[in-house]
Amino acid sequence: MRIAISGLICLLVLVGGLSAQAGHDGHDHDGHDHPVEKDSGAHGEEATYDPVSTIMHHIADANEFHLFGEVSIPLPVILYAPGHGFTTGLSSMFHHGATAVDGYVMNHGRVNRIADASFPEGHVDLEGEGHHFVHESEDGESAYVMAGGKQYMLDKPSTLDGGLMGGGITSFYDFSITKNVLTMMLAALLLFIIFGRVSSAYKKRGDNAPSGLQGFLEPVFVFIRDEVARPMIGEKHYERFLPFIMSIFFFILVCNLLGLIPFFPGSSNVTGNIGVTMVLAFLVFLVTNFSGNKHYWEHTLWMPGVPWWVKLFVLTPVEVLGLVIKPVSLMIRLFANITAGHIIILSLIGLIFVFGNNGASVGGAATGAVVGGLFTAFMNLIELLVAFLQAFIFAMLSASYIGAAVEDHDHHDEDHATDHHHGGAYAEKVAHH
Amino acid sequence: MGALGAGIAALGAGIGVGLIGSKATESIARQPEASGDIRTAMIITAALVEGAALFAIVVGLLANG
Amino acid sequence: MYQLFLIDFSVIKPDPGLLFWTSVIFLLVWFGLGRTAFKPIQKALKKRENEIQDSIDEAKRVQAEMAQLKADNQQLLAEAREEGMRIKRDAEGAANRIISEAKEEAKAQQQKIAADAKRDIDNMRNAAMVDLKQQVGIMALEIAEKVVRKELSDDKGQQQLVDKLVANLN
Repeated sequence: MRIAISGLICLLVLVGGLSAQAGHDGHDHDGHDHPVEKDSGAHGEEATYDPVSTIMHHIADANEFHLFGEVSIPLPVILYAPGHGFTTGLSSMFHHGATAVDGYVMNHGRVNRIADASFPEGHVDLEGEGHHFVHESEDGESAYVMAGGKQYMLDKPSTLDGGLMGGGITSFYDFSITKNVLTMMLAALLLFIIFGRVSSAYKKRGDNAPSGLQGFLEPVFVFIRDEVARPMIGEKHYERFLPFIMSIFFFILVCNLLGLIPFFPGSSNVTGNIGVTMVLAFLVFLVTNFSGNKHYWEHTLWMPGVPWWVKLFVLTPVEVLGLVIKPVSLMIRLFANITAGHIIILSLIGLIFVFGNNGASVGGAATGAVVGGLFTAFMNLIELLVAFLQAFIFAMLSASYIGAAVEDHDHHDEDHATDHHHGGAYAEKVAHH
Repeated sequence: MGALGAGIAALGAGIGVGLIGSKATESIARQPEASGDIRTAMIITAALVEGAALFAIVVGLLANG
Repeated sequence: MYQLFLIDFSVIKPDPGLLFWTSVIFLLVWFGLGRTAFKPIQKALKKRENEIQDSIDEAKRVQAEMAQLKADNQQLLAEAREEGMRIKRDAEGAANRIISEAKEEAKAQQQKIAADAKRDIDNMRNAAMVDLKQQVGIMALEIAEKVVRKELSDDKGQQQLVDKLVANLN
């Protein structure tokens, strides 16, 4: 993950000579009791290391692309608030939070809106020390900024969860090209370049044997086609859905792999963000249900050959719930796998700081670096596997949902027949042995 | 509590993945010519089980606030 | 919930902006790449697979044809051999027949020639005999004349001569 960045943070923290802090384990649970500085350590002179906040900061989306230390790439900011209109610019206009622009303020890399309508428009310098311009209220339930000696409450972050996940109802929408969006664009660009070349190679070389990039990607393409699309969707329909399955697989794969690169072009947690996986899963839901045939809907809504009361009270509700649960499980699976991987690697890197007691114990930090480094290397290899595996699983399950939706009724017998055939072949083989 | 829940989930997933691995190894030993198919099925099932554990971890993280 | 604003688990909160951009980018990838890459690649792969299958089929067909051809050839060869044998046998028969016929003809011819020759010879002998007889007659007359002439000069001699001639005649 962000090993390089974390390493730099580590250096800064060690040089900073920060105060020792005990009881890190308790932080996850009772953060209220500790006056913990919520910054990631890189920005603070006196910040103590808080692993949870650092990790959360690193897996979150951001309106600027943090390179190292104090250097960030500013990204375009496009904000919209009903009744206020669009606000556009570069994220550097916020000066990492020190300046509020048109009532927006940057808070830990994300743009927040100041709820108070009386806050002046234009560039306003905020009051605060170091890099901390967003303060939290006593109860920890809300945050405010200080400007001109007055407190202004912040609105909730730009989310669509309606408060279910703690995001809350907010008054603005953030359509910025964030770190994740930039990485997705990069992934799309990469895909277009790679597959543009491969596709032109097919045109140029005709029926000759594949070579170069074409030869590298053809087995992957053929694998997804022959192991995922064809068996899951069926010989008759699979070609119709092949572009979708391929796009799903390669898009997720490239995003996953970019997320594994610990420095600039990668490092963002794209597929570990529920917004991204939600869109992908929703598209699978749409494609599945729009291509569902009569047989599929009959089996979903009114299963034949079952008493009506079973249908009404058990089967139909379960099946209808299943329609939603399937894409939701797709969404959560990909998101959780990728986020978990990022969190584990960041935690292992965090061991350096935890063992080093924020610089008080150099030996501890060294131990942490050795142990954490080794485990991180190991985890990165596992994450490499997971990057492929999750892309494969997502494509596979999407294909199987689509396959269930387009399956022909008389197809059943054919499948059984082939199964029998396979069974027969196996039995024969065994008999030969 | 969240951490405890995540731990229990990891326990369940660990048992699940262990069973998958043991059965897959047995099957491969019994039928080496089908090892490719068995491996694919094993990986898919393991990913599904892992997914269940990760659901729990997410819920644990959420419960943590 | 102090982390609510400052360090929340923001990845689980869907950001409308991210949803929007993900949709835009993924749909672009789906339709763009689908049209420009995945469909043509699939088409090319399918074409190649079909061609490979076709060439395998073609090879099999040619092989079968070759085998068929070989069998046909074998049969033709056998037939030809039989035909040759038959022809040879016929020819031999014909040759024998012709030879025996020729022989018979030759024999008949020969007999005819021989008969003719005999007849000719007989004729010629008869002619010669007739001629001879005439000549003898003439000669006898001449001798007789000569003898007569001599005998006319000498009786004794004449007698002797007549005796001698007569003895010679016999």
